[in-house]
Amino acid sequence: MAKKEMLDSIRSRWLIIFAIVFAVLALIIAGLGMSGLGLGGYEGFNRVTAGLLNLVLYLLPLISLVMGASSIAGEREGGSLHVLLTQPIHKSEIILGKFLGLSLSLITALLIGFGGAGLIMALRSGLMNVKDYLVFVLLSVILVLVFLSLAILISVLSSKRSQALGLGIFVWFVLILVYDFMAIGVASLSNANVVVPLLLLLLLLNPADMVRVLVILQLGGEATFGPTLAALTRTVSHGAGQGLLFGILLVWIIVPLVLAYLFFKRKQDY
Amino acid sequence: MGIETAKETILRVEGTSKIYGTFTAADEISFEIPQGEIFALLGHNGAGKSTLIKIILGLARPDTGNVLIDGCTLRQNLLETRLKVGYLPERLSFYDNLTAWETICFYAKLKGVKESQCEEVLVEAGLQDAIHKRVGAYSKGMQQRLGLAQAIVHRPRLLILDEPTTGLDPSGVLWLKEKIRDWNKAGTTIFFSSHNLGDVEELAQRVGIMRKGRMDVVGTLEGLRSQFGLRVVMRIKLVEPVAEADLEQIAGFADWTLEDRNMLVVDCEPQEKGEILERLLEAGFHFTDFRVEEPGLDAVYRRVMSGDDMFENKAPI
Ligand SMILES: Nc1ncnc2c1ncn2[C@@H]1O[C@H](COP(=O)(O)OP(=O)(O)O)[C@@H](O)[C@H]1O
Ligand SMILES: [Mg+2]
Repeated sequence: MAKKEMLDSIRSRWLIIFAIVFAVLALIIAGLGMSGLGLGGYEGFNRVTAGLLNLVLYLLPLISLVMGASSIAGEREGGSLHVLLTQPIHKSEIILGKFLGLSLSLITALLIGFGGAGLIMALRSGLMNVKDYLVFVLLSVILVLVFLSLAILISVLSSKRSQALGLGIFVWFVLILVYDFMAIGVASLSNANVVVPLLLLLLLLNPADMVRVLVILQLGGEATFGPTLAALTRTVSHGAGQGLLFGILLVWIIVPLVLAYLFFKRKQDY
Repeated sequence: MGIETAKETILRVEGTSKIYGTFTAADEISFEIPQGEIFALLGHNGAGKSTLIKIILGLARPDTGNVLIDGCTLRQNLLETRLKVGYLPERLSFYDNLTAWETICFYAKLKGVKESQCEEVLVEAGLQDAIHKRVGAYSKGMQQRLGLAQAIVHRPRLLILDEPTTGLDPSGVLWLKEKIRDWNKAGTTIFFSSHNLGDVEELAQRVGIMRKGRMDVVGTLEGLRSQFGLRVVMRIKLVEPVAEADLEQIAGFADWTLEDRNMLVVDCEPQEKGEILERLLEAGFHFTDFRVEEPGLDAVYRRVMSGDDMFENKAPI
Protein backbone atom coordinates (compact mmCIF):
# COMPACT_ATOMS: atom_id res chain seq x y z
CA MET A 1 0.00 0.00 0.00
CA ALA A 2 2.69 2.47 1.05
CA LYS A 3 4.78 1.36 -1.88
CA LYS A 4 2.09 2.17 -4.41
CA GLU A 5 1.38 5.48 -2.78
CA MET A 6 5.05 6.32 -3.02
CA LEU A 7 5.25 5.32 -6.65
CA ASP A 8 2.17 7.32 -7.43
CA SER A 9 3.35 10.45 -5.68
CA ILE A 10 6.90 10.23 -6.95
CA ARG A 11 5.48 10.49 -10.42
CA SER A 12 3.06 13.21 -9.53
CA ARG A 13 3.79 16.70 -10.69
CA TRP A 14 3.42 18.19 -7.23
CA LEU A 15 6.23 16.25 -5.72
CA ILE A 16 8.60 16.91 -8.57
CA ILE A 17 7.85 20.61 -8.51
CA PHE A 18 8.34 20.63 -4.78
CA ALA A 19 11.65 18.78 -4.94
CA ILE A 20 12.99 21.13 -7.58
CA VAL A 21 11.79 24.32 -5.87
CA PHE A 22 13.09 23.15 -2.55
CA ALA A 23 16.47 22.08 -3.84
CA VAL A 24 16.94 25.27 -5.86
CA LEU A 25 15.97 27.53 -2.97
CA ALA A 26 18.12 25.58 -0.53
CA LEU A 27 21.08 25.87 -2.87
CA ILE A 28 20.53 29.58 -3.41
CA ILE A 29 20.34 30.18 0.31
CA ALA A 30 23.42 28.09 0.91
CA GLY A 31 25.31 29.81 -1.89
CA LEU A 32 24.36 33.34 -0.86
CA GLY A 33 24.83 32.74 2.82
CA MET A 34 28.28 31.34 2.48
CA SER A 35 29.82 33.49 -0.21
CA GLY A 36 27.89 36.65 -0.96
CA LEU A 37 28.21 38.20 2.45
CA GLY A 38 31.78 37.15 2.88
CA LEU A 39 31.09 35.32 6.09
CA GLY A 40 32.90 32.10 6.68
CA GLY A 41 32.86 29.49 9.38
CA TYR A 42 30.34 29.31 12.11
CA GLU A 43 28.57 32.55 11.46
CA GLY A 44 28.03 31.76 7.80
CA PHE A 45 26.73 28.38 8.67
CA ASN A 46 24.29 29.85 11.11
CA ARG A 47 23.07 32.34 8.59
CA VAL A 48 22.46 29.60 6.05
CA THR A 49 20.61 27.53 8.57
CA ALA A 50 18.46 30.49 9.49
CA GLY A 51 17.58 30.97 5.84
CA LEU A 52 16.89 27.30 5.41
CA LEU A 53 14.79 27.32 8.54
CA ASN A 54 12.48 29.92 7.09
CA LEU A 55 12.29 28.03 3.83
CA VAL A 56 11.47 24.85 5.69
CA LEU A 57 8.89 26.47 7.91
CA TYR A 58 6.96 27.97 5.01
CA LEU A 59 7.35 25.36 2.34
CA LEU A 60 7.23 22.02 4.13
CA PRO A 61 3.89 22.51 5.88
CA LEU A 62 2.41 23.80 2.65
CA ILE A 63 3.50 20.93 0.45
CA SER A 64 2.63 18.37 3.14
CA LEU A 65 -0.84 19.82 3.51
CA VAL A 66 -1.41 19.98 -0.22
CA MET A 67 -0.27 16.45 -0.93
CA GLY A 68 -1.85 14.90 2.14
CA ALA A 69 -5.15 16.71 1.79
CA SER A 70 -5.69 15.57 -1.76
CA SER A 71 -4.83 11.95 -0.95
CA ILE A 72 -8.03 10.38 0.34
CA ALA A 73 -10.39 13.14 -0.73
CA GLY A 74 -8.95 12.89 -4.22
CA GLU A 75 -9.55 9.16 -4.34
CA ARG A 76 -13.05 9.66 -3.06
CA GLU A 77 -13.80 12.23 -5.73
CA GLY A 78 -12.19 10.22 -8.53
CA GLY A 79 -13.87 6.98 -7.55
CA SER A 80 -10.81 4.83 -6.95
CA LEU A 81 -11.60 4.83 -3.24
CA HIS A 82 -14.50 2.48 -3.93
CA VAL A 83 -12.22 -0.05 -5.52
CA LEU A 84 -9.67 0.37 -2.76
CA LEU A 85 -12.25 -0.10 -0.03
CA THR A 86 -13.46 -3.39 -1.48
CA GLN A 87 -10.00 -4.89 -1.33
CA PRO A 88 -9.33 -7.34 1.48
CA ILE A 89 -7.53 -4.83 3.70
CA HIS A 90 -8.42 -2.92 6.84
CA LYS A 91 -9.16 0.77 6.84
CA SER A 92 -6.24 1.33 9.17
CA GLU A 93 -3.95 -0.02 6.46
CA ILE A 94 -5.30 2.53 4.01
CA ILE A 95 -4.64 5.45 6.36
CA LEU A 96 -1.25 4.18 7.41
CA GLY A 97 -0.27 3.29 3.86
CA LYS A 98 -1.14 6.74 2.63
CA PHE A 99 0.77 8.32 5.47
CA LEU A 100 3.89 6.22 5.05
CA GLY A 101 3.93 6.44 1.28
CA LEU A 102 3.58 10.20 1.24
CA SER A 103 6.05 10.62 4.09
CA LEU A 104 8.68 8.59 2.36
CA SER A 105 8.34 10.43 -0.93
CA LEU A 106 8.38 13.85 0.69
CA ILE A 107 11.30 12.96 2.91
CA THR A 108 13.22 11.67 -0.08
CA ALA A 109 12.69 14.97 -1.89
CA LEU A 110 13.62 16.83 1.29
CA LEU A 111 16.84 14.91 1.77
CA ILE A 112 17.90 15.60 -1.79
CA GLY A 113 17.44 19.34 -1.20
CA PHE A 114 19.20 19.28 2.15
CA GLY A 115 21.91 17.04 0.80
CA GLY A 116 22.76 19.57 -1.90
CA ALA A 117 22.73 22.53 0.47
CA GLY A 118 24.74 20.61 3.06
CA LEU A 119 27.32 19.68 0.48
CA ILE A 120 27.88 23.29 -0.52
CA MET A 121 28.27 24.33 3.08
CA ALA A 122 30.61 21.47 3.82
CA LEU A 123 32.78 22.44 0.88
CA ARG A 124 32.96 26.04 2.06
CA SER A 125 33.33 25.67 5.75
CA GLY A 126 34.65 22.22 6.41
CA LEU A 127 32.64 19.58 8.21
CA MET A 128 31.96 21.50 11.37
CA ASN A 129 28.44 21.64 12.81
CA VAL A 130 27.42 18.39 11.20
CA LYS A 131 25.49 17.46 14.29
CA ASP A 132 23.55 20.73 14.32
CA TYR A 133 22.74 20.30 10.69
CA LEU A 134 21.51 16.75 11.16
CA VAL A 135 19.26 17.79 14.03
CA PHE A 136 17.86 20.46 11.75
CA VAL A 137 17.17 17.89 9.07
CA LEU A 138 15.55 15.61 11.62
CA LEU A 139 13.31 18.43 12.79
CA SER A 140 12.31 19.13 9.20
CA VAL A 141 11.36 15.50 8.80
CA ILE A 142 9.27 15.73 11.94
CA LEU A 143 7.63 18.85 10.54
CA VAL A 144 6.68 16.94 7.40
CA LEU A 145 5.26 14.08 9.44
CA VAL A 146 3.17 16.38 11.63
CA PHE A 147 1.65 18.24 8.74
CA LEU A 148 1.03 15.12 6.69
CA SER A 149 -0.79 13.63 9.62
CA LEU A 150 -2.93 16.76 9.90
CA ALA A 151 -3.47 16.75 6.15
CA ILE A 152 -4.72 13.19 6.14
CA LEU A 153 -7.20 14.03 8.85
CA ILE A 154 -8.39 16.95 6.72
CA SER A 155 -8.60 14.66 3.73
CA VAL A 156 -10.76 12.13 5.53
CA LEU A 157 -13.11 14.84 6.73
CA SER A 158 -13.57 16.40 3.29
CA SER A 159 -15.75 15.06 0.55
CA LYS A 160 -14.01 16.76 -2.32
CA ARG A 161 -10.42 17.37 -3.24
CA SER A 162 -10.99 21.10 -3.60
CA GLN A 163 -12.56 21.25 -0.16
CA ALA A 164 -9.64 19.38 1.35
CA LEU A 165 -7.13 21.62 -0.41
CA GLY A 166 -8.94 24.74 0.73
CA LEU A 167 -9.00 23.53 4.30
CA GLY A 168 -5.34 22.52 4.12
CA ILE A 169 -4.28 25.90 2.85
CA PHE A 170 -6.41 27.58 5.47
CA VAL A 171 -4.66 25.59 8.20
CA TRP A 172 -1.31 26.55 6.71
CA PHE A 173 -2.33 30.18 6.57
CA VAL A 174 -3.42 30.21 10.20
CA LEU A 175 -0.56 28.20 11.69
CA ILE A 176 2.24 29.70 9.63
CA LEU A 177 1.19 33.25 8.86
CA VAL A 178 -1.51 34.42 11.24
CA TYR A 179 -0.06 32.70 14.25
CA ASP A 180 3.00 34.91 14.34
CA PHE A 181 0.89 38.01 14.54
CA MET A 182 -1.00 36.50 17.44
CA ALA A 183 2.28 35.73 19.17
CA ILE A 184 3.49 39.27 18.62
CA GLY A 185 0.22 40.60 19.94
CA VAL A 186 0.47 38.50 23.05
CA ALA A 187 4.11 39.40 23.55
CA SER A 188 3.32 43.09 23.47
CA LEU A 189 1.08 42.76 26.49
CA SER A 190 2.67 44.46 29.44
CA ASN A 191 2.16 41.91 32.18
CA ALA A 192 5.07 39.48 32.00
CA ASN A 193 3.34 36.95 34.24
CA VAL A 194 0.65 36.53 31.62
CA VAL A 195 2.81 36.78 28.55
CA VAL A 196 5.12 33.84 29.10
CA PRO A 197 2.53 31.15 29.96
CA LEU A 198 0.31 32.40 27.16
CA LEU A 199 3.12 32.29 24.68
CA LEU A 200 4.00 28.83 25.89
CA LEU A 201 0.44 27.69 25.30
CA LEU A 202 0.43 29.23 21.85
CA LEU A 203 3.70 27.49 21.14
CA LEU A 204 2.45 24.06 22.13
CA LEU A 205 -0.60 24.46 19.92
CA ASN A 206 1.51 25.09 16.85
CA PRO A 207 3.87 22.38 15.68
CA ALA A 208 5.61 24.70 13.24
CA ASP A 209 6.56 27.08 16.04
CA MET A 210 7.80 24.21 18.14
CA VAL A 211 10.10 23.14 15.36
CA ARG A 212 11.30 26.72 15.00
CA VAL A 213 12.11 26.97 18.69
CA LEU A 214 13.85 23.61 18.73
CA VAL A 215 16.06 24.57 15.81
CA ILE A 216 16.96 27.85 17.48
CA LEU A 217 17.79 26.05 20.68
CA GLN A 218 19.97 23.62 18.82
CA LEU A 219 21.88 26.40 17.12
CA GLY A 220 22.09 28.48 20.26
CA GLY A 221 21.56 31.54 18.12
CA GLU A 222 18.58 33.19 19.71
CA ALA A 223 19.88 36.63 19.00
CA THR A 224 19.22 36.21 15.31
CA PHE A 225 15.52 35.81 15.74
CA GLY A 226 14.19 38.81 17.55
CA PRO A 227 13.30 39.42 21.16
CA THR A 228 9.91 37.73 21.34
CA LEU A 229 11.10 34.29 20.43
CA ALA A 230 14.28 34.78 22.37
CA ALA A 231 12.36 35.33 25.57
CA LEU A 232 10.34 32.27 24.90
CA THR A 233 13.37 30.26 24.00
CA ARG A 234 14.91 30.96 27.39
CA THR A 235 11.80 29.65 29.07
CA VAL A 236 11.72 26.45 27.14
CA SER A 237 15.39 25.71 27.30
CA HIS A 238 15.25 25.11 31.04
CA GLY A 239 15.35 21.52 32.15
CA ALA A 240 13.18 19.09 30.28
CA GLY A 241 11.79 21.75 27.94
CA GLN A 242 13.28 20.24 24.79
CA GLY A 243 12.16 16.74 25.65
CA LEU A 244 8.68 18.07 26.27
CA LEU A 245 8.58 19.75 22.87
CA PHE A 246 9.72 16.58 21.12
CA GLY A 247 7.10 14.63 23.02
CA ILE A 248 4.36 17.02 22.02
CA LEU A 249 5.46 16.93 18.41
CA LEU A 250 5.11 13.16 18.55
CA VAL A 251 1.59 13.59 19.89
CA TRP A 252 0.95 15.95 16.99
CA ILE A 253 1.92 13.18 14.59
CA ILE A 254 -0.07 10.42 16.21
CA VAL A 255 -3.31 12.07 17.31
CA PRO A 256 -4.46 13.40 13.92
CA LEU A 257 -3.71 10.03 12.33
CA VAL A 258 -5.70 8.17 14.95
CA LEU A 259 -8.56 10.65 14.57
CA ALA A 260 -8.38 10.23 10.80
CA TYR A 261 -8.68 6.48 11.21
CA LEU A 262 -11.63 6.77 13.58
CA PHE A 263 -13.51 9.16 11.31
CA PHE A 264 -12.70 7.04 8.28
CA LYS A 265 -13.97 3.92 9.96
CA ARG A 266 -17.15 5.46 11.29
CA LYS A 267 -18.16 6.94 7.97
CA GLN A 268 -21.52 5.68 6.68
CA ASP A 269 -21.04 6.19 3.00
CA TYR A 270 -17.99 6.30 0.84
CA MET B 1 -37.78 -22.22 -4.27
CA GLY B 2 -37.88 -25.93 -3.36
CA ILE B 3 -35.46 -26.93 -6.07
CA GLU B 4 -33.17 -23.99 -5.50
CA THR B 5 -32.27 -24.93 -1.97
CA ALA B 6 -29.99 -27.66 -3.28
CA LYS B 7 -27.73 -24.93 -4.69
CA GLU B 8 -25.63 -22.81 -2.41
CA THR B 9 -26.73 -19.24 -1.95
CA ILE B 10 -23.82 -16.92 -2.67
CA LEU B 11 -25.65 -13.68 -1.96
CA ARG B 12 -28.54 -13.09 0.36
CA VAL B 13 -29.98 -9.65 0.96
CA GLU B 14 -32.37 -9.42 3.89
CA GLY B 15 -34.62 -6.38 4.12
CA THR B 16 -31.99 -3.72 3.59
CA SER B 17 -32.92 -0.07 3.41
CA LYS B 18 -30.86 3.03 2.91
CA ILE B 19 -32.21 6.45 3.69
CA TYR B 20 -30.45 9.64 2.67
CA GLY B 21 -31.99 12.36 4.75
CA THR B 22 -35.65 12.09 3.88
CA PHE B 23 -35.05 10.22 0.64
CA THR B 24 -35.32 6.43 0.63
CA ALA B 25 -32.76 5.21 -1.88
CA ALA B 26 -33.27 1.54 -1.03
CA ASP B 27 -36.46 0.32 0.53
CA GLU B 28 -36.65 -3.03 2.32
CA ILE B 29 -34.92 -5.00 -0.38
CA SER B 30 -34.73 -8.79 -0.06
CA PHE B 31 -33.57 -11.40 -2.55
CA GLU B 32 -31.18 -14.29 -3.00
CA ILE B 33 -28.79 -15.36 -5.68
CA PRO B 34 -27.68 -18.98 -5.99
CA GLN B 35 -24.09 -19.78 -6.82
CA GLY B 36 -23.42 -19.91 -10.55
CA GLU B 37 -26.16 -17.59 -11.77
CA ILE B 38 -26.06 -14.51 -13.95
CA PHE B 39 -28.36 -12.00 -12.33
CA ALA B 40 -29.19 -8.61 -13.75
CA LEU B 41 -30.42 -5.61 -11.83
CA LEU B 42 -32.57 -3.39 -14.00
CA GLY B 43 -33.94 0.05 -13.38
CA HIS B 44 -34.06 3.68 -14.44
CA ASN B 45 -31.31 6.06 -13.49
CA GLY B 46 -31.76 6.89 -9.85
CA ALA B 47 -33.74 3.74 -9.12
CA GLY B 48 -31.25 2.78 -6.45
CA LYS B 49 -29.18 0.16 -8.25
CA SER B 50 -25.83 1.58 -7.29
CA THR B 51 -27.03 2.18 -3.78
CA LEU B 52 -28.00 -1.47 -3.44
CA ILE B 53 -24.63 -2.54 -4.82
CA LYS B 54 -22.80 -0.28 -2.40
CA ILE B 55 -24.75 -1.77 0.47
CA ILE B 56 -23.85 -5.27 -0.66
CA LEU B 57 -20.18 -4.33 -0.79
CA GLY B 58 -20.18 -2.54 2.53
CA LEU B 59 -19.51 0.85 0.93
CA ALA B 60 -22.74 2.21 2.33
CA ARG B 61 -24.09 1.21 5.69
CA PRO B 62 -27.72 0.11 5.44
CA ASP B 63 -30.22 1.58 7.88
CA THR B 64 -31.99 -1.75 8.18
CA GLY B 65 -31.31 -5.33 7.21
CA ASN B 66 -28.38 -7.54 6.45
CA VAL B 67 -26.29 -8.76 3.58
CA LEU B 68 -24.84 -12.27 3.61
CA ILE B 69 -22.15 -13.22 1.15
CA ASP B 70 -21.63 -16.96 1.15
CA GLY B 71 -23.43 -17.06 4.48
CA CYS B 72 -21.25 -14.42 6.14
CA THR B 73 -21.69 -10.74 6.78
CA LEU B 74 -18.72 -8.46 6.21
CA ARG B 75 -18.60 -7.76 9.91
CA GLN B 76 -18.20 -11.43 10.76
CA ASN B 77 -15.39 -12.11 8.37
CA LEU B 78 -14.17 -9.02 6.57
CA LEU B 79 -11.06 -10.10 4.72
CA GLU B 80 -12.16 -13.55 3.59
CA THR B 81 -15.53 -12.28 2.45
CA ARG B 82 -13.93 -9.42 0.53
CA LEU B 83 -11.75 -11.95 -1.29
CA LYS B 84 -14.82 -13.78 -2.53
CA VAL B 85 -16.10 -10.70 -4.30
CA GLY B 86 -14.87 -8.75 -7.31
CA TYR B 87 -16.29 -5.30 -7.98
CA LEU B 88 -16.40 -2.91 -10.90
CA PRO B 89 -17.80 0.45 -9.79
CA GLU B 90 -19.97 2.60 -11.98
CA ARG B 91 -17.62 5.56 -11.82
CA LEU B 92 -14.12 4.32 -12.24
CA SER B 93 -10.73 5.86 -11.81
CA PHE B 94 -7.24 4.72 -11.04
CA TYR B 95 -3.92 6.25 -10.14
CA ASP B 96 -2.99 8.24 -13.20
CA ASN B 97 0.73 8.04 -12.61
CA LEU B 98 0.89 4.26 -12.50
CA THR B 99 1.01 1.95 -15.49
CA ALA B 100 -1.62 -0.75 -16.01
CA TRP B 101 0.89 -3.33 -14.90
CA GLU B 102 1.68 -1.49 -11.67
CA THR B 103 -2.00 -0.90 -11.04
CA ILE B 104 -2.96 -4.54 -11.39
CA CYS B 105 0.04 -5.67 -9.38
CA PHE B 106 -0.96 -3.27 -6.63
CA TYR B 107 -4.46 -4.73 -6.36
CA ALA B 108 -3.11 -8.25 -6.76
CA LYS B 109 -0.76 -7.68 -3.86
CA LEU B 110 -3.58 -6.40 -1.66
CA LYS B 111 -5.55 -9.51 -2.58
CA GLY B 112 -2.62 -11.84 -2.12
CA VAL B 113 -2.57 -12.93 -5.76
CA LYS B 114 0.59 -13.93 -7.62
CA GLU B 115 2.10 -11.65 -10.27
CA SER B 116 1.76 -14.32 -12.97
CA GLN B 117 -1.99 -13.89 -12.78
CA CYS B 118 -1.65 -10.16 -13.40
CA GLU B 119 -0.17 -10.71 -16.80
CA GLU B 120 -2.80 -13.31 -17.62
CA VAL B 121 -5.66 -11.04 -16.65
CA LEU B 122 -4.28 -8.05 -18.56
CA VAL B 123 -4.05 -10.18 -21.68
CA GLU B 124 -7.56 -11.41 -21.02
CA ALA B 125 -8.69 -7.79 -20.83
CA GLY B 126 -7.09 -7.10 -24.18
CA LEU B 127 -4.62 -4.62 -22.72
CA GLN B 128 -1.42 -6.48 -23.57
CA ASP B 129 -0.23 -3.72 -25.90
CA ALA B 130 -0.60 -0.99 -23.31
CA ILE B 131 0.66 -2.75 -20.19
CA HIS B 132 3.42 -0.24 -19.53
CA LYS B 133 1.49 2.84 -20.46
CA ARG B 134 0.38 5.28 -17.78
CA VAL B 135 -3.25 4.73 -16.85
CA GLY B 136 -3.77 8.48 -17.01
CA ALA B 137 -3.32 8.21 -20.78
CA TYR B 138 -5.91 5.44 -21.10
CA SER B 139 -9.22 5.93 -22.88
CA LYS B 140 -12.47 5.42 -21.01
CA GLY B 141 -12.93 2.01 -22.60
CA MET B 142 -9.44 0.89 -21.67
CA GLN B 143 -9.94 2.05 -18.10
CA GLN B 144 -13.14 0.03 -18.02
CA ARG B 145 -11.22 -3.03 -19.18
CA LEU B 146 -8.60 -2.42 -16.54
CA GLY B 147 -11.38 -2.13 -13.99
CA LEU B 148 -12.69 -5.51 -15.05
CA ALA B 149 -9.20 -6.98 -14.88
CA GLN B 150 -8.92 -5.68 -11.33
CA ALA B 151 -12.30 -7.17 -10.44
CA ILE B 152 -11.51 -10.64 -11.76
CA VAL B 153 -7.78 -10.99 -11.03
CA HIS B 154 -8.36 -13.02 -7.86
CA ARG B 155 -11.02 -15.18 -9.56
CA PRO B 156 -13.79 -14.28 -7.11
CA ARG B 157 -16.86 -16.40 -6.59
CA LEU B 158 -19.13 -13.41 -6.93
CA LEU B 159 -18.53 -10.68 -9.49
CA ILE B 160 -20.48 -7.46 -9.03
CA LEU B 161 -20.51 -5.09 -12.00
CA ASP B 162 -22.20 -1.72 -11.83
CA GLU B 163 -23.25 -0.76 -15.37
CA PRO B 164 -20.28 -2.51 -16.92
CA THR B 165 -21.00 -1.59 -20.53
CA THR B 166 -20.86 2.17 -20.06
CA GLY B 167 -17.76 3.58 -21.70
CA LEU B 168 -17.12 0.53 -23.84
CA ASP B 169 -17.23 0.74 -27.62
CA PRO B 170 -19.39 -1.81 -29.50
CA SER B 171 -16.60 -4.33 -29.81
CA GLY B 172 -15.86 -3.84 -26.14
CA VAL B 173 -19.47 -4.60 -25.32
CA LEU B 174 -19.33 -7.79 -27.37
CA TRP B 175 -16.08 -8.75 -25.67
CA LEU B 176 -17.59 -8.12 -22.25
CA LYS B 177 -20.65 -10.24 -22.96
CA GLU B 178 -18.45 -13.10 -24.06
CA LYS B 179 -16.29 -12.70 -20.97
CA ILE B 180 -19.30 -12.65 -18.69
CA ARG B 181 -20.41 -15.95 -20.18
CA ASP B 182 -16.89 -17.40 -19.89
CA TRP B 183 -16.44 -16.37 -16.29
CA ASN B 184 -19.87 -17.68 -15.50
CA LYS B 185 -19.06 -21.03 -17.11
CA ALA B 186 -15.98 -21.19 -14.93
CA GLY B 187 -18.28 -20.98 -11.92
CA THR B 188 -18.39 -17.28 -11.09
CA THR B 189 -21.73 -15.86 -10.08
CA ILE B 190 -22.35 -12.59 -11.85
CA PHE B 191 -24.47 -9.76 -10.55
CA PHE B 192 -24.66 -6.77 -12.83
CA SER B 193 -26.74 -3.66 -13.06
CA SER B 194 -27.85 -2.16 -16.31
CA HIS B 195 -30.42 -0.04 -17.98
CA ASN B 196 -29.90 -1.72 -21.31
CA LEU B 197 -32.75 -4.20 -21.78
CA GLY B 198 -31.07 -5.94 -24.71
CA ASP B 199 -27.91 -6.76 -22.78
CA VAL B 200 -29.89 -8.03 -19.85
CA GLU B 201 -32.18 -10.18 -21.93
CA GLU B 202 -29.20 -11.69 -23.70
CA LEU B 203 -27.14 -12.52 -20.63
CA ALA B 204 -29.18 -12.85 -17.51
CA GLN B 205 -30.82 -15.97 -16.21
CA ARG B 206 -32.79 -13.95 -13.73
CA VAL B 207 -33.55 -10.28 -13.40
CA GLY B 208 -34.57 -8.00 -10.60
CA ILE B 209 -36.28 -4.76 -11.48
CA MET B 210 -35.86 -1.76 -9.22
CA ARG B 211 -38.04 1.27 -9.11
CA LYS B 212 -37.78 4.17 -6.69
CA GLY B 213 -35.63 2.21 -4.30
CA ARG B 214 -37.78 -0.88 -4.33
CA MET B 215 -37.03 -4.24 -5.81
CA ASP B 216 -40.43 -4.71 -7.38
CA VAL B 217 -39.99 -7.99 -9.14
CA VAL B 218 -37.46 -10.79 -9.24
CA GLY B 219 -37.57 -13.78 -11.50
CA THR B 220 -36.73 -15.41 -14.81
CA LEU B 221 -38.03 -13.76 -17.93
CA GLU B 222 -40.59 -16.53 -18.43
CA GLY B 223 -41.63 -16.32 -14.82
CA LEU B 224 -42.17 -12.58 -15.10
CA ARG B 225 -44.03 -12.91 -18.36
CA SER B 226 -46.57 -15.23 -16.86
CA GLN B 227 -46.63 -13.34 -13.57
CA PHE B 228 -47.78 -10.28 -15.46
CA GLY B 229 -50.12 -12.27 -17.71
CA LEU B 230 -48.44 -10.93 -20.83
CA ARG B 231 -50.03 -12.28 -24.00
CA VAL B 232 -48.26 -13.70 -27.01
CA VAL B 233 -49.02 -13.08 -30.65
CA MET B 234 -49.21 -15.97 -33.14
CA ARG B 235 -49.00 -15.29 -36.84
CA ILE B 236 -50.40 -18.28 -38.72
CA LYS B 237 -50.12 -18.52 -42.48
CA LEU B 238 -53.00 -20.56 -43.83
CA VAL B 239 -52.77 -22.76 -46.93
CA GLU B 240 -55.86 -21.28 -48.50
CA PRO B 241 -57.44 -17.86 -48.21
CA VAL B 242 -60.47 -17.84 -45.96
CA ALA B 243 -63.35 -15.57 -45.23
CA GLU B 244 -63.63 -14.06 -41.81
CA ALA B 245 -66.98 -15.69 -41.30
CA ASP B 246 -65.40 -19.13 -41.63
CA LEU B 247 -63.23 -18.43 -38.64
CA GLU B 248 -66.11 -17.72 -36.28
CA GLN B 249 -65.53 -21.13 -34.69
CA ILE B 250 -62.47 -19.93 -32.90
CA ALA B 251 -63.87 -16.53 -32.08
CA GLY B 252 -64.53 -15.81 -28.44
CA PHE B 253 -61.65 -18.00 -27.62
CA ALA B 254 -58.98 -15.53 -28.56
CA ASP B 255 -58.49 -12.14 -30.03
CA TRP B 256 -57.91 -12.54 -33.73
CA THR B 257 -57.67 -10.64 -36.97
CA LEU B 258 -57.21 -11.70 -40.53
CA GLU B 259 -54.63 -10.05 -42.72
CA ASP B 260 -54.50 -10.58 -46.49
CA ARG B 261 -57.20 -13.25 -46.17
CA ASN B 262 -54.67 -15.98 -45.35
CA MET B 263 -52.61 -14.55 -42.50
CA LEU B 264 -54.27 -15.16 -39.19
CA VAL B 265 -52.97 -13.09 -36.29
CA VAL B 266 -54.00 -14.35 -32.86
CA ASP B 267 -53.41 -12.61 -29.56
CA CYS B 268 -53.65 -15.10 -26.70
CA GLU B 269 -52.32 -16.30 -23.35
CA PRO B 270 -49.04 -18.23 -23.69
CA GLN B 271 -50.62 -21.55 -22.62
CA GLU B 272 -53.41 -21.30 -25.20
CA LYS B 273 -51.15 -21.61 -28.24
CA GLY B 274 -51.41 -25.38 -28.68
CA GLU B 275 -55.13 -25.44 -28.24
CA ILE B 276 -55.65 -22.81 -30.90
CA LEU B 277 -53.57 -24.70 -33.42
CA GLU B 278 -55.44 -27.92 -32.67
CA ARG B 279 -58.80 -26.22 -33.13
CA LEU B 280 -57.73 -24.81 -36.46
CA LEU B 281 -56.68 -28.24 -37.68
CA GLU B 282 -59.85 -29.86 -36.36
CA ALA B 283 -61.91 -27.31 -38.27
CA GLY B 284 -60.01 -28.12 -41.42
CA PHE B 285 -57.85 -25.05 -41.67
CA HIS B 286 -54.37 -26.15 -42.62
CA PHE B 287 -51.38 -23.86 -42.46
CA THR B 288 -47.98 -23.65 -44.09
CA ASP B 289 -46.14 -21.64 -41.47
CA PHE B 290 -46.54 -19.95 -38.13
CA ARG B 291 -44.56 -17.67 -35.91
CA VAL B 292 -44.89 -16.82 -32.23
CA GLU B 293 -44.00 -13.35 -31.02
CA GLU B 294 -43.24 -13.52 -27.33
CA PRO B 295 -43.14 -10.31 -25.40
CA GLY B 296 -39.59 -9.47 -24.49
CA LEU B 297 -38.12 -7.98 -21.40
CA ASP B 298 -39.15 -4.59 -22.67
CA ALA B 299 -42.80 -5.52 -22.30
CA VAL B 300 -42.22 -6.80 -18.80
CA TYR B 301 -40.24 -3.71 -17.94
CA ARG B 302 -42.87 -1.40 -19.33
CA ARG B 303 -45.47 -3.24 -17.32
CA VAL B 304 -43.49 -2.94 -14.09
CA MET B 305 -42.85 0.72 -14.65
CA SER B 306 -46.53 1.46 -15.29
CA GLY B 307 -47.76 -0.60 -12.37
CA ASP B 308 -48.54 2.33 -10.14
CA ASP B 309 -51.09 0.40 -8.10
CA MET B 310 -48.29 -1.46 -6.37
CA PHE B 311 -46.59 1.59 -5.02
CA GLU B 312 -47.28 4.26 -2.53
CA ASN B 313 -46.82 7.88 -3.38
CA LYS B 314 -43.27 9.00 -3.09
CA ALA B 315 -41.83 12.42 -3.49
CA PRO B 316 -40.57 12.85 -7.03
CA ILE B 317 -36.81 13.03 -7.41
N1 LIG C 1 -24.71 9.84 -0.97
C1 LIG C 1 -25.95 10.18 -1.34
N2 LIG C 1 -26.61 11.17 -0.72
C2 LIG C 1 -27.86 11.50 -1.08
N3 LIG C 1 -28.54 10.89 -2.05
C3 LIG C 1 -27.96 9.90 -2.71
C4 LIG C 1 -26.64 9.48 -2.39
N4 LIG C 1 -26.31 8.45 -3.21
C5 LIG C 1 -27.38 8.25 -4.00
N5 LIG C 1 -28.37 9.11 -3.69
C6 LIG C 1 -29.67 9.16 -4.34
O1 LIG C 1 -30.21 7.90 -4.37
C7 LIG C 1 -30.88 7.65 -5.59
C8 LIG C 1 -30.43 6.36 -6.18
O2 LIG C 1 -29.15 6.51 -6.72
P1 LIG C 1 -28.38 5.31 -7.39
O3 LIG C 1 -28.39 4.16 -6.47
O4 LIG C 1 -27.06 5.83 -7.81
O5 LIG C 1 -29.28 5.00 -8.66
P2 LIG C 1 -28.96 4.13 -9.95
O6 LIG C 1 -27.62 3.49 -9.76
O7 LIG C 1 -30.06 3.15 -10.03
O8 LIG C 1 -28.97 5.07 -11.10
C9 LIG C 1 -30.61 8.85 -6.47
O9 LIG C 1 -31.79 9.61 -6.55
C10 LIG C 1 -29.53 9.61 -5.77
O10 LIG C 1 -29.76 10.99 -5.91
MG1 LIG D 1 -26.02 3.64 -10.83
